Amino acid sequence: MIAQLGSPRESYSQDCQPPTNQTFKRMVVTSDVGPFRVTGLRPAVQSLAEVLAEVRGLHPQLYTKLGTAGMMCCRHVRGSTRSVSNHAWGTAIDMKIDGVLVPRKAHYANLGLQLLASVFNKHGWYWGATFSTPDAHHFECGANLLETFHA
Amino acid sequence: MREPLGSIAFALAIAGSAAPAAASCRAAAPAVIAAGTATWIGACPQGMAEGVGTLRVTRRGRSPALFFGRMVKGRPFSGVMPTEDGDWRPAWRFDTALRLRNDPSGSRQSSIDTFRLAAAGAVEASRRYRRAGNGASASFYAEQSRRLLAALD
Repeated sequence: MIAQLGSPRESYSQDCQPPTNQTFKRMVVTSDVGPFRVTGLRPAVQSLAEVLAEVRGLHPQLYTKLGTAGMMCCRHVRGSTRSVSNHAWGTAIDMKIDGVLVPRKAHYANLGLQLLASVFNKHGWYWGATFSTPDAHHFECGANLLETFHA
Repeated sequence: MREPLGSIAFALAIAGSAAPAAASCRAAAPAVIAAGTATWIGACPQGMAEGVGTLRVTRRGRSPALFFGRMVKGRPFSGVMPTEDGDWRPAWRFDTALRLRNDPSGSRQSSIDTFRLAAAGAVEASRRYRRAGNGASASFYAEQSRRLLAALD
């Protein structure tokens, strides 16, 4: 991430802080992506809007139940003093279905997340449910999609 | 329906409840879990639930519903409710009818803060049960606090 997009800021804490890297900062946008507003990296937010537009067409009932626990947040991974959260670059998002968040480390996902995953995957996003520490509510831009972004 | 670790844990918590709550405390429950008798496990100045703690709503024939978080003047302000499936239902704020409201900005910090408040509420319940000599319930709420803090990476 750092090689491709640079470091969003020099230091991190356990709280979300704004990016300080001016080049990176110019790529950060806040935008309405359909069911909610997000702040994130411009091309990631554009891709997210395309994902959600497709979800609206394929699964209109699911679309009306979509919410988020946020996209961009420059901070350390919880409990770490070294690892930077993937949310720091504004290329990851946590999704709620009907106001509900499936817990991190849960070895299951609800139907809404499974339906979302196929659309996110099609647009080059990874699904956190497949990570070594499963995180079913988490989606992030995959390597091939990131390669199309330029800071 | 997915089962039942959550239900078993709730049952344990209730089976051992040893009155860590004020005898009479006004505490309104969030609308989504309002059908039952609410008990506030937390501070209750002037007879109204206040500060961080846990609201437990007992329901006929079902596991109790829980709200972890902050109450202001007897009303829920912000926190998280576990669902019967073991998921989380976070509430940034509540409207006048005590329905959940999301932060319209979509801020991730808001979500993190909501879960931190909820974790603090579970810790408060754990502390009160521990003080009342109910180790099983104290452990249950301490575990809920750990799960709440780990909800977002």
